[in-house]
Amino acid sequence: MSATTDVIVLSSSPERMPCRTPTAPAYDPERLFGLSPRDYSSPDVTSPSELFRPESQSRFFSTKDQADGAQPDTHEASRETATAEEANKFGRKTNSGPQGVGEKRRGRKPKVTSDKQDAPAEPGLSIGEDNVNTSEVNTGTKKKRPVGSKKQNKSANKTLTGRVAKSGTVATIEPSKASCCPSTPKPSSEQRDGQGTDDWQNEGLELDPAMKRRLDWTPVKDTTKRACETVVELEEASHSVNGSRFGNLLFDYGFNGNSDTSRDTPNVAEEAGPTKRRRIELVDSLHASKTASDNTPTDSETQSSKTQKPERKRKTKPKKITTLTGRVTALYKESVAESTDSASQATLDSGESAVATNQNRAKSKRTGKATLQPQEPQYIVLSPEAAAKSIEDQDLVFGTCSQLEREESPQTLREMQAAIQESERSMATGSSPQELRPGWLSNRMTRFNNTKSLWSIAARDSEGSLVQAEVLDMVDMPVLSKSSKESNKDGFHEKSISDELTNDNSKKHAVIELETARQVQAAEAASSTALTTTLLQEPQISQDKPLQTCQLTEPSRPIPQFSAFTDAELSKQITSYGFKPLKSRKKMVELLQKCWESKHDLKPSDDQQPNPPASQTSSSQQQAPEKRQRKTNTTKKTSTTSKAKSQQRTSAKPAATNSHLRVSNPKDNNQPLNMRATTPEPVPPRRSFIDVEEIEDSEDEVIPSPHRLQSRYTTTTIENKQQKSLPISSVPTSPSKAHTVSSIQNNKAETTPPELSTQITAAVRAQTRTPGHNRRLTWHEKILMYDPLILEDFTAWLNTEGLGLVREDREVGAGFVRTWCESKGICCCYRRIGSGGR
Amino acid sequence: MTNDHDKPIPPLYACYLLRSVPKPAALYIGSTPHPARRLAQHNGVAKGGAKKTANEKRPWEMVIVVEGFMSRVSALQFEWAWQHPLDSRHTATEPGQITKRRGRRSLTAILGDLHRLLLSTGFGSAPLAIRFFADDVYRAWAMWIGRDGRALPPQMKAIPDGTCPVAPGGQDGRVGCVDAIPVDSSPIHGYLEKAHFLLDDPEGHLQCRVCLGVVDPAEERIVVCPQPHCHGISHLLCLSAKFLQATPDRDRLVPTEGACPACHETVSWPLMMKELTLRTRDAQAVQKILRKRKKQSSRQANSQATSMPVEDPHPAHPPDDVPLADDWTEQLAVDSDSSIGFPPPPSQRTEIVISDSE
Repeated sequence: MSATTDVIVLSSSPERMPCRTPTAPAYDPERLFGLSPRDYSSPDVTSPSELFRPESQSRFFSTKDQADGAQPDTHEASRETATAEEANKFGRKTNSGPQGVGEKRRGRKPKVTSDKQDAPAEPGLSIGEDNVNTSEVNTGTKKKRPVGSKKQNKSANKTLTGRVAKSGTVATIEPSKASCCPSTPKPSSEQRDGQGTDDWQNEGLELDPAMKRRLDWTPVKDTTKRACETVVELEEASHSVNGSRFGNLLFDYGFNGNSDTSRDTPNVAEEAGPTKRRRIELVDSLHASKTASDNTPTDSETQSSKTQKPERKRKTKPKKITTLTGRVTALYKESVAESTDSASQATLDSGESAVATNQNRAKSKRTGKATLQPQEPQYIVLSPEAAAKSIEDQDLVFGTCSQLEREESPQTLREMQAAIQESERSMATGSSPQELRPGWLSNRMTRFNNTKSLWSIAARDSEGSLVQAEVLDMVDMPVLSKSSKESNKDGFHEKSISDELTNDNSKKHAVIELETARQVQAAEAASSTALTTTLLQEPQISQDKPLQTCQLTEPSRPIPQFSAFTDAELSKQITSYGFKPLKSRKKMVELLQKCWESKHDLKPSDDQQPNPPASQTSSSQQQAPEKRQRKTNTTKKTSTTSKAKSQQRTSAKPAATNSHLRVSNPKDNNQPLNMRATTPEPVPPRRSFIDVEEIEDSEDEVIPSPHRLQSRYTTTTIENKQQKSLPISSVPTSPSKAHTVSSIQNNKAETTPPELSTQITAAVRAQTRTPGHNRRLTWHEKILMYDPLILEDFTAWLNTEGLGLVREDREVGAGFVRTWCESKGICCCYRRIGSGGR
Repeated sequence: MTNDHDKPIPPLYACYLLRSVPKPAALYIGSTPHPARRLAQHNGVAKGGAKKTANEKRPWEMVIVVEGFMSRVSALQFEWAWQHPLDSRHTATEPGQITKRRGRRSLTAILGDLHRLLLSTGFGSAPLAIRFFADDVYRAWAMWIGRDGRALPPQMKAIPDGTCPVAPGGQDGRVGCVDAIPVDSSPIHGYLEKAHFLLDDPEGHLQCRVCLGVVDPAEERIVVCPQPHCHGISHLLCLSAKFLQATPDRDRLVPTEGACPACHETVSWPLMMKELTLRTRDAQAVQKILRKRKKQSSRQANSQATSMPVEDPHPAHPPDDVPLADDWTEQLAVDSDSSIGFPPPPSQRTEIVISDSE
């Protein structure tokens, strides 16, 4: 009931009511009551709750409530008369008028309950009496409203009800506002109400424009339409009233419902127009995009048509779809169709003069807009042909390259190489009967395929007897490879790979190595001499290193997919590396990868030596502050290489086997699949390898591979730097922070950690009490009595006396002494308390 | 030389963890030689620096007390390391460990840091005791230990105290509440007295039990067995060398315990050092203590207290507390005034009173 009726009422009531704010309230209650009297009464009761609604509703509804409450309460009789008059004046009211009167009474009774409304209503009566000119109803409403609004704007809000009828009343109070400024606050509306009411009364209420305007404000279009339809009849009746100027103003100001639609339609039409232009622009834009000068087309567009902006967007979308093929084709077509554009494009492509081209474009667009529009579709039509043509041309230039590369598949080449190496290895192993067994190969295959990580771990954990041999080979590589190049049967294979690697990478790597070596030397110069000696060897070794690194990098490729492991496996792996299992799976994976990479990068060293020595070297170097990470790396390498050499000499294995092993190791990891195919036939792979060499000549293949290797090398080295810090912690006493104060001293001490620390301990124990000074505590006594050691004093004693007792010529720094103390659980501090608090 | 060098080992220096009663998530780590007094300060009952805890989070409860630090420096270092686990060398991140974010730590994180700190090389050999005064904290600790799997070093012990249920081990080490933690040297007074009398031998017949050489108590550091009835004395270095020989770790410089060469009882090295430092470095205090002990002994016709100071605290403690009153007044002048004068009034009131008092 209420909904339908209310809607109608709303449409009707707002028509005239909003204009006549004062009158409207009177009408509204009547109409409302007439339409849905009972409902109205009931909502009144509910009204207080609605009082707090947002302003938009509150305005419309609140006014009604006020009007309703005020009117019925104060003047029932006046209302009745007003309603009658209203009904007479306004055709619509005639319909609802009589009902409204009777219903008003009903509705009023419940309304009376609201105290606030009653109070304002009384003064309103007096005002209403004074004001009544055109229509009693208006006066009554005016009186009531101003009273209510002035005294109880808020209260009116409180009384607001959700009804449509109220909306009309709202319009009554605020229509004046609305006419002036729709969103003006209520207080202003109050003031205006007084003035507005007079004008309204004098000039007559123009409900129709008000209705339209109101409709405009109402957001929903559908409702407006309906309202218009329903209202039409009423409007006709009210048109007579519209003659007044204010009404004209309102009318002009007001309803744009049609205009809105008109706006929409013209936009659409405009859009259609711009689309054509856009097509032109699209071509331009494409060129522009290529030339990286989008501004010019946009400017031209803006100049040409304001409305094109939305069009651009729409058009751009389809263009985007076509762009990949269309852009290229469009370029060619343009070149064919328009010499100017093509020239500009060409220039743009070349990037010689972007500005000039832009100007050219703009000119061309301006001149040929009309012509361009038809032409552009032609471009599109032509595009397939042009595309075909362009494709032919493009093959050389564009994206096809990537496809071609992939199809040519560097992977296949790698695989080929790997397979060849595998075959060679198998050949080499063939010399050693053990490894030739197919079963052995398969085992290895499976091993690497399925559990690469396990293999690596095994290599490490097994204390390296197996691994050592291989490692030695790895280290020996460069020498052997050189020798093999010259006179080896197997050398061809190695030659090809190693030579390439060396040729490509050796230079760069050599440079890097030299740089590092220089830095290292510089750093070392300050520090102990022991390292410098080793470092001096580096430049010599540097040439050989690239080979190592290159080959080392390859094995790193097949990193086991730790992410595929279960948590338990991951934790196991981590524990196998000597780390404490982590909570986060992700971190575990990262850690494992790092460990794996570090291990395999260091593979020669690790393999060479059983784990403990490797850990020693790492640990000894680990403590160095981060500044010297680089140094540590280089030193490590040198040490490994030197060790390798030494072991190599000692090792009785033939060089050939070593070389095979060396080569084979990385390859094994790389691609077992190829191995299977190649392994059974050792000889043919050689041939294939020779073929591969030819491939090497092709620059496409050769060039990328070294880059990759290099990149890997660089990345791996970086990772190494980071990773090497990881094992550091194995030494409990190593300071996590680099102590600036004693960094140098620490370095010294760390370079020879065991001796010095043990020397300190020995010195402390060796100290005997000086006979004359029994009172004076020895350092050991202090320690025994838990005295905090003053690092300065203790260090001074060590350097002056203590270390001399154990025939130690070196000196120690306070920082190192502190680490020593902490490793012993001895409390120590600097003299200035606070600095040593950590 | 700093003052610490000439001072005896403090009878108590503890690090503690405070927890806010109204806001259990609020935690505070501090250190003090007197937990009860410090707690009163934190809660505003006593005057004294407690800026960080002087807020709406009061009252605070002391849920963990780590005691047994052999020096103030050590305790402060421990406190700092516990407060700054990420910056401390003692708790430097382990190799594979990913550094956690900084910021407020949860109770579990603090317990984890404490555990790591206790296991660190810097403090792993310290004779620490960790008292838990809150049941839930102790349970969290036990859970952490169970999860981490690394037990505390043997010389350390975690003592469920306060509201914690009595461990199967019995009442061992329990004191009941923070106020009951002995903060003075009273537990070793008997030991001190015995040593004093034992070494008071003007004739010079004292003999080191280890090297069998003559002992000169005035010039040498002489260690006396803490066992009440044992008369074993020895040189500091001699005994330590003997103890260290018995330990598997050759690099150790300080033993944790050993068998007394005289009575063959296992004796605690830190305890002996406490007595030694107190006896040799604080003559005044020793005299005071001895005088009071004398009075006590005279009062108690047949006092067992002289011979049983450490082992049976209950009979000895009440009398000991009386002589300690001097020290207490010195340390707790403010506390005693406030607490005695105005026992349990609201904190603000007491604060005002305190200010007036001064």
